[in-house]
Amino acid sequence: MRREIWITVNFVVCFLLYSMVTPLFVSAGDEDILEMDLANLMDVQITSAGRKSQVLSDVPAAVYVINREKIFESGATTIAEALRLVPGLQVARINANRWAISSRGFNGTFSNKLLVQIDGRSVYTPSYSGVYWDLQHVLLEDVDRIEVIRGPGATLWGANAVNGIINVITLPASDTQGGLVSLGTGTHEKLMAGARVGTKLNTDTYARFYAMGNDRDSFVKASDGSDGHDGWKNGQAGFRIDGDKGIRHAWTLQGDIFRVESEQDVAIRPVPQFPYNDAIVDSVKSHGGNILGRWTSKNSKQDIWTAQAYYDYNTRDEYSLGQTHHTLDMDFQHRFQPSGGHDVVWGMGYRMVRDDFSNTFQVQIMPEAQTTHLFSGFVQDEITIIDDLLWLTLGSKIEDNDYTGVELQPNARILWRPAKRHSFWTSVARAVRTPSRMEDSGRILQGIIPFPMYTQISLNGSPEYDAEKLIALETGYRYAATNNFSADISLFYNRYTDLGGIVQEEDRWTMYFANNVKGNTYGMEFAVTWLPVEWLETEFTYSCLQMDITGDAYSKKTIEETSPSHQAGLRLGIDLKKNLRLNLWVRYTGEIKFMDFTNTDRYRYVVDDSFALDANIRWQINGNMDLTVAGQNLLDGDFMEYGSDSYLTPIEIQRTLYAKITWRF
Amino acid sequence: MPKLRGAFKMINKTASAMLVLVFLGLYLMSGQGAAQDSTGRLSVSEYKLRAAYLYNFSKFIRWPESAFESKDAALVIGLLGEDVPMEIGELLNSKRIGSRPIEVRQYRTGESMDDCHLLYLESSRNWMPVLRTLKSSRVITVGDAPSFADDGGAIQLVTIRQRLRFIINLKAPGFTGVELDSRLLSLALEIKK
Repeated sequence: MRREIWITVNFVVCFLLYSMVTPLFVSAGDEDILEMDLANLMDVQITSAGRKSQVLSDVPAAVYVINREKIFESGATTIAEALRLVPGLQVARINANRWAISSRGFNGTFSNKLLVQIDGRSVYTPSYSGVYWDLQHVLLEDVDRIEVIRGPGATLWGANAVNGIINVITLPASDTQGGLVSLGTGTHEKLMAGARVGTKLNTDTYARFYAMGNDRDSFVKASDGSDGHDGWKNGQAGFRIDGDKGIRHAWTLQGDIFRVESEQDVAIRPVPQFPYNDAIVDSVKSHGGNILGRWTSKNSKQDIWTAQAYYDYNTRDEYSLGQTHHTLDMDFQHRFQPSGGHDVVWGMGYRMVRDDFSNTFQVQIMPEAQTTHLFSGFVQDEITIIDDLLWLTLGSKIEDNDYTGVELQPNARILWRPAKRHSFWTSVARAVRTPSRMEDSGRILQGIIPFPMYTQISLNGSPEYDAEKLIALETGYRYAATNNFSADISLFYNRYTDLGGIVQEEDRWTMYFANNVKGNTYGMEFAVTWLPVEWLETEFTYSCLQMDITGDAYSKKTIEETSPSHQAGLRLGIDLKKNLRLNLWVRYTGEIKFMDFTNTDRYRYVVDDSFALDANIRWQINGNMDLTVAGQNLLDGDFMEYGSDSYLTPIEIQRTLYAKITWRF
Repeated sequence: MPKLRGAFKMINKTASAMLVLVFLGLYLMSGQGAAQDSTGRLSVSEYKLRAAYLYNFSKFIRWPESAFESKDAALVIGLLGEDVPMEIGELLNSKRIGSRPIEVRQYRTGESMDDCHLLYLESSRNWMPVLRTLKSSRVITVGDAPSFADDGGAIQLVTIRQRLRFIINLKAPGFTGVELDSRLLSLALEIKK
């Protein structure tokens, strides 16, 4: 890892030196434009104005878009941190390198009802159906937006999109021409380095290449304030090429490689010999890569098809398990308007996942290697019932997976726009989460009782484990008065059946994953953006969540109490001067509690409700360069944001400061 | 773990040293390039860009002598609409193509536009009837409506990836009798034959 970081650092240095001797781009006045030859004229980019407050008035779902400005205004340094902006998402930093992120409840270290995609590539791990957030990186400067859909979106996106979908979308290479270097350092972020070169390969083909590296310090243990052993480093490099073939066809080829090395403080690890249970500091090593190709053909504005294929490889090694996944995914989508009033999208997909595990004394998955196939198809029709007033969307996905067979995931949505600025929507949808490899065929040793009789406490997968099911009712309203004011509210009522829980055998020490839990959740999410004066931008978000779960005591308490009931956020962006902006962000998070594994009436950790303040100031030194000085968690020097629902030692997140400079040329 | 800690520290030191250097470098360079917009990209109003395209087209298209009244008669670029920004006209009026000056004429709807060489029809205007009346004329029409070339226009401007490109429709009547520079054809996004 040290070498990889060094390669990244060296790359950045060379890049800097190179760019320093290269003259800065000379700006062109009116006369120069006329003197430019035709080939150069075709490179002049038309900047689109007023993209800042885009209104999504015609989507019949609870959508929130984090655009690139918001990412920088938030001071976030990772995708996970940026997701705190979204009302209705639960984002908690477990330790320096791990996050618990979910939508509409069910949060946990291994939360599993969220589909996350980066440029159309799914990044959830099939072994537990969750996301290793420490492995998901993009050069934030190249991100166009992060679209978050709360609630089921299974019809278009497929299984696992039960409680939400997160789509990270990067800019096409044509929008990232030129060079960029960003470099930062701070109390926690010891090194943040990124570099990108964007270039034109020929008249119709644009490319960019990037490299990034981060080195982050550890936080402290909640118990005694000693080193939390959770520092981490990552290095990543990649490319994206976008091309056109005539006016109708466009294609993309992109890929990344990455390496991440992190530490974790393990509170309890069962070992076969005396003392049977110990605590260790473990080093987690991960690496991977992916390549994706996409072809889009637009026969007319109403007739577009897209074909996409990708291959993704990643491997993660830790004390408890080594896991490698190879994923091959192919998708086809076609959108057309067969007659007036119908807008149809249909598609087909195939995904092959080959896994390969290195079992340990603690965790075993049998068989150690396996290949699964997933076939899917979907169709959706948006029907205009009354022009410019009422739309009905009907659709369903049908999926055939190796664990539970055929799953149907239909949805119906209505959008009503009684006036130009007002829109109401309502929907009913069914979604399923198919079993993970662990739930199907894993065995996790939780601990060992050495006396009076050597006993292993284990949690076991079961081939009978079925898909979790959800019927969701949602409704929402959007109001976009002007570009300066918009409000968005959504309400949901979710009914889950066959949720994952735990059943014990008679001996009490052998447990199984089972679908013995069900329940209802309901809640509300609210976001309002207001720009009262030209130099001030404000955003307020609030969400509440209630969960009524029935099942085994452990599952019930864990599900109900590890997601906060109330969350709120207030962001202020103040333009102090034309080139100086101050961003303030206050967040409130309700209490969460972690039950004691051995006694469901006691709590191991109680995380009090809390306020957090992030602030940053961004100075545009000139047109090409800006400097950000940011502070995170400024109110509290050390606080526990999440307790622990796993083997990880509870960690206190610290107040952090960093400075970062970004230079474009 | 101590090994890893050591590596962390080393990188940290180097990184701080590097940062100081970089900040210094950047400080020395601040103030330059201020004319560029905040995204670091060159930006011009779309009108001026279109003017530049028209100027370039007139350089790459060679009209026969018969298309001009005299040896030093102006090359006429027509614009539909009297409220086209003055800048376009001013920018182009100061240019020459070889020995010929450029003359910009603004037309009203309904006027005869046969007397210009290159005619720009903005998509927001009522360009369809104009194109129809020019069916048999030698005017090379330039437009940016999505179906401009398909409807008989000669050169269609297309915004693709936030950049202006063009399609050439060789079937357009304006192209008969003129010579086209091969560079113009090679840069076209699409050539309709």
